[in-house]
Amino acid sequence: MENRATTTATDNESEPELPTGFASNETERGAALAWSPRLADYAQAGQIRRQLNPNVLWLMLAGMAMLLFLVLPLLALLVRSVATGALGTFLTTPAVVEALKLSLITTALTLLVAVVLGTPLAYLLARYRFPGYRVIDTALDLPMVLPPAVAGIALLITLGRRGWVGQWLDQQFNITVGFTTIAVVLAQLFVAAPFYIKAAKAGFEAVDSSLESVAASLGSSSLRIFWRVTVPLCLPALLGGMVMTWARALGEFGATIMFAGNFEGKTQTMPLAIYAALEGSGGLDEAVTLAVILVIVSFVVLITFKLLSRSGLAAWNSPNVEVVHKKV
Amino acid sequence: MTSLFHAVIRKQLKAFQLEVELGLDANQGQVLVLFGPSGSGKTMTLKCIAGIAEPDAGFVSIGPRTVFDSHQRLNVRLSERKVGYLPQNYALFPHLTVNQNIAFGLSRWDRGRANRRLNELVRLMQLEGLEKRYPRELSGGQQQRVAFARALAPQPEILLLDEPFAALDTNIRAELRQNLALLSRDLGLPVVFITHDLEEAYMLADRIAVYDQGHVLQCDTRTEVFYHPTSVQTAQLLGIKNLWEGRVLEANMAQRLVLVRTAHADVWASVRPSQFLPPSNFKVTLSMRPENIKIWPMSAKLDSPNCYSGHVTGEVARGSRYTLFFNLGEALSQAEHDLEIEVTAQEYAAMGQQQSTSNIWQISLDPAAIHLIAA
Repeated sequence: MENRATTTATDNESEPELPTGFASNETERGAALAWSPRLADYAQAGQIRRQLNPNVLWLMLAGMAMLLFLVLPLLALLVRSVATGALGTFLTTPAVVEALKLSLITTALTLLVAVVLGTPLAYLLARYRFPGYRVIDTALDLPMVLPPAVAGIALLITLGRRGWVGQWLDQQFNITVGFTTIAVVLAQLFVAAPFYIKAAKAGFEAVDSSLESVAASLGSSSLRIFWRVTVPLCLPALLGGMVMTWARALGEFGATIMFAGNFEGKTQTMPLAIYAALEGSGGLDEAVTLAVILVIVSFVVLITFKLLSRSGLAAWNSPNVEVVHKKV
Repeated sequence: MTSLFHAVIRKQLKAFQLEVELGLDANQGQVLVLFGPSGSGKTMTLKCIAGIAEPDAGFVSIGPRTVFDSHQRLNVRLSERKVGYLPQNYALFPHLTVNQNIAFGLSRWDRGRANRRLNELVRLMQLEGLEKRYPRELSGGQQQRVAFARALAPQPEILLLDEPFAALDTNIRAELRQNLALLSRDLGLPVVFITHDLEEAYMLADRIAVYDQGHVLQCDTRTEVFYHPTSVQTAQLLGIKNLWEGRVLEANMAQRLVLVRTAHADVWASVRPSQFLPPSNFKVTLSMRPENIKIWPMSAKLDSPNCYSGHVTGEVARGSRYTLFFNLGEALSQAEHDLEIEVTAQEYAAMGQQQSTSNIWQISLDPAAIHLIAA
């Protein structure tokens, strides 16, 4: 101890210019080394003033710019709709009400079909590997990256009146799919279902298969294992996928307008109604009203999901879960 | 003889072909330990018995029930096999409480009976007061006890445990091992238990199957396996240190003794009555347990047939015991040693008082304590 104290003292003499901010006072520094610091001497917290890293300032500046760009347009919508009183005027017009109703119904149907038919597919893809797995996996990504216009055309030549399947349906059962409400649902399903399937697949994959094995060894049927073990464990992932799918369906425009058309009360969902309003009689104020409604509905759904998944949903899954590493 | 379980498994794995035959009869005890290095096929064997994995060909019976037979195309499903299976990480259901975890396998029992069983297991595993907790709120030892309780709840006919103590601290481990030893006897349940811990294997096993590369090298009672390994490979896997290769020089039929010439020294070893007496020039390996080698000062008069002198070249303290590295003859190389000798702390202290400046010692090897391995 003494040894160290003296060497530091001599070092101190040979380096007179210490950076300011440190204890440059020689007696003070020597004194600090002469006694041994004890726990009791440091009873108080926060003796050091935290300094802001100058680099963080740049980060904040850039971050603020991005944030402003993303939030300002939405804010502008809200402000304008309130300021002009448009929200009050147009909220009850038949076109707006119809569009909102149609949007809610079609997106709910889309979600239902996506979950009912998508879950088995997601489970298969998560649990089994087979020839062509990669091709199927990639094909599922396609609708997410393709422009909706491509989806619209693809649906048209498949299910349209002259399409492969559409023609057959028309001749055999006299069913026309194109330009009906069903077409709206199909367009939404095509572009939005992969979001759920992907999320569910990832969720199923994350469930430790040894949990399922143990459940089976305890005499449970496959169905019971699925409902009592697999689903609860990946519920956050499933709900996340559902929210994504629903949100994507709600915003669907391109494929819908090409495959289902833009008929008020039948195929005119909210995004289409905004477009129609801007082009037609309602003008900007009606479009703004529709847009604001869309923003509010989306925001409420997203925030509800976030709050849900933070509280009760995954109580057992809080961050302090001990991860038991499996030996490979 | 009633068979508690029997398994013949052939399965092609990535690195090797798993080919094992295992079994446990009622008169052989209740705990069979699968011992061997990681990746030697132990876990896959367990999974095949449980029904989680399927052998390419083979046969599995649990008690009197055949649950798998590739000849008869019989494959009883995992959920019908009545096995208590405990994977390495316990696999407790993280979204269920302790009670719900334990009762998971009791869903088909009527409620009153299920509740009684649940309470019984909570008491047996000393989980009182933890019933409403989630697995993440439990310590490693508690998690393990819950996993045991859950596996035992539906009254399985066999317990399959995959390194159940691997993730625990040493002191909890010792306690739980003790519990398991008592438990398996109390419940009268056959247990197949995987470990790569020697001490654990010795402590719990009635019988040990030594695994290597998908094969069982030896399957016998624990004393047989530990003290009389049948192959050099087994001896090496069991951590037996002093293995000397050599050839038989001469054999004494009457006393069942053989003189073996090794690179280190000529050694007299006795041949057990159950072993065949190797003829001259036969290749053998001598295995000498470190604790059976006696070390003496040069002044001592010894009458053992195997007496050698040499140097202690190094030592390692192991708490109550010391390991000494011993070189025969004059060569004083630090890097190599001919033998490892284990002495107790008292013996070590006594040696300190007798130590001569030259550090030369005598050792004696009792012929009866030398185990002879063919080839």
